[in-house]
Amino acid sequence: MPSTFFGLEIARRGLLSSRTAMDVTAHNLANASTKGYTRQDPVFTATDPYTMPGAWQKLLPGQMGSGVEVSQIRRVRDSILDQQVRSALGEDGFWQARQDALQRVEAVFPEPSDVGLGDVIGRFFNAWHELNNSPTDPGLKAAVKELGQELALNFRHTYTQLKDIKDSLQQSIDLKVNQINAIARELAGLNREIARIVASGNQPNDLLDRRDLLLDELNGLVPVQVVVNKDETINVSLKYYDGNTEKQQSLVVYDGSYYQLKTSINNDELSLNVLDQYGSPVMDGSNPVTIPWTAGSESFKLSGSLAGVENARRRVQDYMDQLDQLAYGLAAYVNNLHHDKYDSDGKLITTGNDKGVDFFALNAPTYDPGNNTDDNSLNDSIDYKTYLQFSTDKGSEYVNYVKGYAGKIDLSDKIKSDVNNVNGTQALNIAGLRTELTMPDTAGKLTATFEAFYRGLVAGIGADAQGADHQVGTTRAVLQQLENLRQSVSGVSLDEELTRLIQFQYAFQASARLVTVLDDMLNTLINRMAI
Amino acid sequence: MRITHSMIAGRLVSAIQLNLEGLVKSQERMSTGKKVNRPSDDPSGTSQIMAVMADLSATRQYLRNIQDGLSWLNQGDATMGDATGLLHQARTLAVQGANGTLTRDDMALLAQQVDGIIDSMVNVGNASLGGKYIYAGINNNYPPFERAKSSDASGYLQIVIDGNLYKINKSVYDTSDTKKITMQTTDNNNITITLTREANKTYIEEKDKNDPTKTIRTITYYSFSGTMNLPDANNVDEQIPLAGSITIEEKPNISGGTDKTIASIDLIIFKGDSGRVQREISAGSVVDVNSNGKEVFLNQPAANEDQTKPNIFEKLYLLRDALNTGDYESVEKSLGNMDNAMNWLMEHRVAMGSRTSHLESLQSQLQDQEVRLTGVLSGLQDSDIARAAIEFQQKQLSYQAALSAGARLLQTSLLDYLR
Repeated sequence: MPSTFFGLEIARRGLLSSRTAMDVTAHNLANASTKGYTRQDPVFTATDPYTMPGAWQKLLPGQMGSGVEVSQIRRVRDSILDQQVRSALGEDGFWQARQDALQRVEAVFPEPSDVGLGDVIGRFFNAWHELNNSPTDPGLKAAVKELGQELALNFRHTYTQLKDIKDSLQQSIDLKVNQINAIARELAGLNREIARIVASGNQPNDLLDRRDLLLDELNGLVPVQVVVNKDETINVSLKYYDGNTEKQQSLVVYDGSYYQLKTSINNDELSLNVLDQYGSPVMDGSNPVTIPWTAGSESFKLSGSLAGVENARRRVQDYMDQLDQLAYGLAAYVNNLHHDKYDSDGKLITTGNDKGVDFFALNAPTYDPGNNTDDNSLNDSIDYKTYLQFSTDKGSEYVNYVKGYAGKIDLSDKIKSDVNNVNGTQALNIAGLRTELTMPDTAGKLTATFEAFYRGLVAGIGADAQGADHQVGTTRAVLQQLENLRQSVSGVSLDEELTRLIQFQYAFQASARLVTVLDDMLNTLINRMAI
Repeated sequence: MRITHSMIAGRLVSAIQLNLEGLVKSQERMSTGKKVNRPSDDPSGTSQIMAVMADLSATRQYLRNIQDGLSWLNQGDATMGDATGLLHQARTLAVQGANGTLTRDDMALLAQQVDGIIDSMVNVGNASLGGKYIYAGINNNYPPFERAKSSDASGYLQIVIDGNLYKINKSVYDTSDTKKITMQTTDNNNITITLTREANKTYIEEKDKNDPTKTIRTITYYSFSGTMNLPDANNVDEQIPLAGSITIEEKPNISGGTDKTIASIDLIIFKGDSGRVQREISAGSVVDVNSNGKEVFLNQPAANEDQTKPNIFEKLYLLRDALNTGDYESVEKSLGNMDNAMNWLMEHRVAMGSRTSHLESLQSQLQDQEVRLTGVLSGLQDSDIARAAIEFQQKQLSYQAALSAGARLLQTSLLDYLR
């Protein structure tokens, strides 16, 4: 037989377990809106049953149950869903970053409208037509000059805005890398903490939530590989591509150490230098470890917003290059017709004092140091025909233009100081440039007019932006679906928790009631008997 | 599937966002009246719209060019009509002069009338349109023709060329070179008339009085006929139109030789250029809208060329001089010259007429095209307002539905039913 007070012990365990369960429920309710919170579930287990030793053993029906205990407070989480969500977060981060940037780029080009650069180019050539109708009219010359100025201003303005966007993207890359570093640092701290708590036999539920949230965030930034060890610590490594081979660089190690990244931009290509936690570069043999980032971003192999921003940054540079090409081509063609001075062999004089007046100033601008790879070109003035020849010969390798020209294009001083320097006799030829195939395609063949080239640029930006929009729509939907699935498993349902609260309350009440009944029984037994 | 409250809230937020996004897009389409508001709305549509806009702006410019070109051609036609009228008058005078019954005095009177016709012809050649002289070539801000005619003052000739008065000693200074006549002005500046054999070019050069090798200025492209023979033009590559007359008197002098003296100078100076005034009337297609004054009035066919395309001024001078000298035969020959001159003008008028009709037909084509392009542009970029309005209504409805369903669902919880 068990002892007289055995029932009281069972009731006590019931009371304690219900209390614990209600506390867990309260914790769940309190964190219903906490980001990254995983609902916790008290696991009730019957305590070890009691077998009565002794001669009377057979009189008993078997083992006696000894009540209940909360053996574990479980995190309700599906790690496979976590992986799926994280990969979706990476895709979403990439396209979101790209879409943000491209939407800003798109806003720089107010097309299709009658106020954009396309319209100004048209009006510029129309002004030359008008001048041809009265080639010596100073009023019309002034109009040509004004439109030239408007055109140059528009180019400069557009270019500067693109450059601003590019600069801000560069800053955002630095910010993102700082974020990654901060997360790596915090993850390393959590690793140490979790290892300690697990070693003491507890389950650090809320720390694990915190860690999962950080891993989500990290996956939105860069693609990472996470390995969970037996002691609940993790190893995190960054996935990247060197050429076509996928490689990994460790970021967080189970023992609490971690690595930091540092951006470096060379020849406009982004790479990440790896530092250890004390800030000294990590070496591979005698070379510091660097992670190439641009190629992987451009080929859409990498996910995460860091790659998205880098991809967008390079796109913006590409748009700037095209704008340079257009501005430089336009200035070169107009200038070379505008010169209108020929030597005795009938060749255009393009240098020296004998050459005619430049319409646009063609002085080679100095571009940002280090990035100006293409500027070996013709700094003072280039020959129209040479320009064509040049582009055709060099082909896709080398479409001739000066980087950064669109940001500095301006009328020449002579035109600015005196409208009479506008060459009316060439007006018809210059106006005719509008319909000539003047701009090279990527193969260096002249296949587009200025306006068509510009249209191509704008349509390209539009298509890029639209593509990003669609991709964001898709990744957003996928992400939402997966998030919902995850919420479905791990999220806190108020109704459910309230129901359970009531359930536990009744359990508590029942246990309490048992105490009262036993009390009554014991009262009878002890106080009312044998007196 | 287990549904949690944060899921409901999250879904509601994103549904509201989506609905609002659609609503704002429809609203934008309605308020701007355009279905493509930024390149990403429709990249290929954007490119098409921009191409049509560029076409439209070019078409409008071509229309302006044609309009302008037509007024030039019309003015050219009108002036050539005037010139033909003047030649008719000259021909009538020639008919009168050729009948052989007139006295020398009567013929001199006719000559005076022809002289007046030359003046009128200069005026015709200086016809202008909106301040532009249509026969002057590209640089057409100044009248292209000037008649430089000497008047006789005591002891010297006066001649105004290009606004400058030259007083010229009557005596001819250099006669050794038949191609060159140097006249000395009274302030000892030399004016040299040079007939350059190689190119048949003629200049008036003004030389510096201290350094005769230094040319102060040159007025090119005029010459004279009548009393001076032009140099042999057999090896001429380039024909320069010339007209005018310089009369040289020969008088015996005391020493038994002859003195050559300039009696009068009467020259037509062409100060324009041979530039062609052109208008681009469609992509790459360029049309001349003027006839060059030098070619129309001062054509100088080479010996081996068609002589029926005459130098109009020269033929008028010939007629005048023939009438002055009472040379019936030459006057009769002039009849043919006048006919040739009228035919020559007619040739130009026909050419201009065909260009005019070309421009007019192109004009109506381009006007059609403008209308069509505007239609195409509207089709490409304008939103169908009725459709946009219905879409807007639909989206508004689903937005409201999302809001009201969400609001109701969010308000409901087990808490409402627990005591």
